[in-house]
Amino acid sequence: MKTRTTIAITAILAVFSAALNTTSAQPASPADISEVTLNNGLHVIVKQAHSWPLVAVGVVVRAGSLYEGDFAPGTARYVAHLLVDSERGANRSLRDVMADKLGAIVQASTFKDSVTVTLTAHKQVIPEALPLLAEGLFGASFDDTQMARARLELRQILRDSEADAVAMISHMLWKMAYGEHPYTNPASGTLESIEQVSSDDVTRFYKRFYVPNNAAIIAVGDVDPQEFFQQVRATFGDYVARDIHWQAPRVSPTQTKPRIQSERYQASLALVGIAWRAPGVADWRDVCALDLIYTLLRPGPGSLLGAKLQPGGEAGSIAINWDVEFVTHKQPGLFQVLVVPTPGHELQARQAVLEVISSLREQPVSAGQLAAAKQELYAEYCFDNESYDEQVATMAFYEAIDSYKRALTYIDQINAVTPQRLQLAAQKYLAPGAYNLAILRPQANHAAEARLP
Amino acid sequence: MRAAAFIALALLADPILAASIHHGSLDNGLGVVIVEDHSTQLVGIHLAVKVSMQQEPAGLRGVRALIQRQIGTQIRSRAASDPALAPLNVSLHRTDAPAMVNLEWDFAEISLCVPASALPDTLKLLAEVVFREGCLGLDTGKNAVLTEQKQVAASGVQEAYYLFRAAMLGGGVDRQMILGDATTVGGISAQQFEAFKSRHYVPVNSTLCLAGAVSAQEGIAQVNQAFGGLPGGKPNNWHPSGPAVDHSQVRVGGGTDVDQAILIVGVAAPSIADPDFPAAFVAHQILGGPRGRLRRDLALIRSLGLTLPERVPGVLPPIRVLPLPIEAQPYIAIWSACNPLQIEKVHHRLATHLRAFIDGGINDQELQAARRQAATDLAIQLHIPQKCAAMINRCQLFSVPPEIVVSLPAAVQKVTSNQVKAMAARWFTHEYVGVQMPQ
Repeated sequence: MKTRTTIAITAILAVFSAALNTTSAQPASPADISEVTLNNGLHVIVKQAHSWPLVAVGVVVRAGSLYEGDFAPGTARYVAHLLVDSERGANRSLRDVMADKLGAIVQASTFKDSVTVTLTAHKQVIPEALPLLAEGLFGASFDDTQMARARLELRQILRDSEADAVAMISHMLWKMAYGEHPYTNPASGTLESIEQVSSDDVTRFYKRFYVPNNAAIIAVGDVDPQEFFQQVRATFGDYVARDIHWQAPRVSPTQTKPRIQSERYQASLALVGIAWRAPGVADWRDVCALDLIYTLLRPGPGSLLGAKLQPGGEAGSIAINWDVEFVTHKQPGLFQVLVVPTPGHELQARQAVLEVISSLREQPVSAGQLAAAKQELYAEYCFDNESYDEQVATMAFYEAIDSYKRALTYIDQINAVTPQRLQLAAQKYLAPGAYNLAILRPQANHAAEARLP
Repeated sequence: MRAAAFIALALLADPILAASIHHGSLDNGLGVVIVEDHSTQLVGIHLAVKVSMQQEPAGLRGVRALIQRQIGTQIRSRAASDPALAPLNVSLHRTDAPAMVNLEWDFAEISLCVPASALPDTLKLLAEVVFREGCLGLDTGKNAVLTEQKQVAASGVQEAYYLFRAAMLGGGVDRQMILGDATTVGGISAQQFEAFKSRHYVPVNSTLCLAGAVSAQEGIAQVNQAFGGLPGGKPNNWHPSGPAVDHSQVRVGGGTDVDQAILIVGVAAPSIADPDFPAAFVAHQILGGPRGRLRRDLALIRSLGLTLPERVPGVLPPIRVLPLPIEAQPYIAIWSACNPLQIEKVHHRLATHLRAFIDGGINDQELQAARRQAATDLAIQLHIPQKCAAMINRCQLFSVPPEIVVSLPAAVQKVTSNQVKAMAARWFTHEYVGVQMPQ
């Protein structure tokens, strides 16, 4: 599952936003898909949908923060920004050119495993868009002026998101769980990390990873697959394949003892994060089981955590809000529970989370609970693949970490999870001694909580 | 449902399109459109009721707002408590979900979206809360509407919009607050609520659209199951607002809650049923699109006389073109905040932008970009089930056939600069202005 959680915390009040879970929709059945791999290794995938004269085309490059091992943290984001958003010399950015010339909407996202650039446009402009996309992503070069401008732009963007307490605690949890693994680098970069990225980092990273054999192009919409393959061959086919010389970073040994860390920050409410190391995509059945645990815990009418944290609704609760995050990665990831405790109830909130996790380990959930979670996950899955660009994003997400085909069978795998399988996954990954506890406490804190470990 | 009343439309404008459209009505008069599109597993549901502000008697101003509030509350609470409606509950909690209930001067609407498997239960819920239910929790509803009234009254932009609308449509109830006022809403009884609801919220005054992963056959059967047994009710002699008055008008108001002047300058625009509409849609893009004329008019930004942080004009521009509405009398209107001392200058520049279309002067590059942007925007709207259902059903409300709506992406691509000029000469002759000044 891919999830995104947004929790905005201001200096005055901490507020959890609703979970925004972009789980994979089964955007197509295998019969709807056509695919080909070009001689240079570029994988081309097409899902036809002819209802409306619209096409979404996404290029996914395996060049997220996972690949920053030999580079400064933040390089992946820096390169993606240069390619899509930054002006290049006298020319406008790729995003602006696409909008001005073609009326196309361009979205670019940097994740831990990949960078995805998606354009959505009327079908008639796709033949004009493909050469721009190919040249923009695989034929780029940067001079010092462009790099300096990009740094200024990124500083401004990152300054705007500086006070994100969720990003802060999530970063703490990743570091505690995985030490120096590149997954601990925030995919979006930070104000500090961007300053460390050199021109050499940018050029080397780009040349190494932005090659056709390390990428895929995915189209959903009103296209004829054979015509599209031909257009892609003509526009992307001349870019040369190169070995990227990348080896998966080593993951530190399994955690056996809890790790605890606390920091002070500028806010009026505390934020508590508890996280366990979680399966990567290779352990697909476990991923699906943990996706259901995620669904059972997150805010909602039947939330198991809700019953503990807010037993009588908001009145008399021990938490103002909470959320859960679990994103499937190429390598092992992180299962995070984040809680904003009611002032004076930090310890109870922490205990409540651990008790709920413990109950998942000790006994299987009821068939009714599991069926409700599956139904909820299915609905999410449908909504997250509502539009063509979302369907591209889902297939691109899985293609980056394994194969787009994961997106097509996801719900079948979810439906195959039994209460016993879910319990086994809880026992395997959410072990009592293997959690990481991070706490952000306000500068002026409740005296008793200031002494808590 | 009268099967014979259903027409399957071949989409002549673009023969490649695979979305098939069926429309007709149930025996009880409920208008139904089904747009079949299996590119997702979702179905967008849009129900519109022809009940305008003009139909609220003087003592019941705001009763529609109370009814809408109740419908919204009931849908939310049942979705949260009924396991069969869990998929709807997921939809209602999405952060990017469009508003579920909405009230316009001319109509009331409910917009939902669910996976196809949850469609039968969701349609039953809709039939129940919109057409069957009496008055529930009136006092809670009143408190909510009164709170909303205060919020709207404190919004300079909203006030300026009311003034602009009054300038365009003249006097009458159209210039009043859509939520009614505190006195009338406070005085509405449960009996009055129920009498109004049972008079106007009936199938014969309503239209329904399903768009997405549902076949015509399944959709018709499910709609019949949920709505077919309802009495049709009596037509309520509905007349939408408009047309625009035949002279330019300025309406000025004042408020203590605004620091800057809020100005809305606009012209009447052709309705979606009018052959001039594609040209108006392109003009709207030329003016207000992401690279439109207003964004490029730096002199206009400077003339506002506002002290703005460096990034604000780019991120949150103090000048915006309002969306082109699907109404009987649409408009193209520009909203701006400015220093009160600069209001004449700003008004002049905004009006100049609107009048410029009458003189023509659209270059090929600008026209091409606007046409492409317009075609993409329309296709994006149509391919998302919930937005598609809303767009097509709003048009159905104003008797615009769905085939006109679905052919718009193709139609805007063919618009010429001469057509834009001719459209402007026909429609942009009078200027309507609403101004909210600080006091």
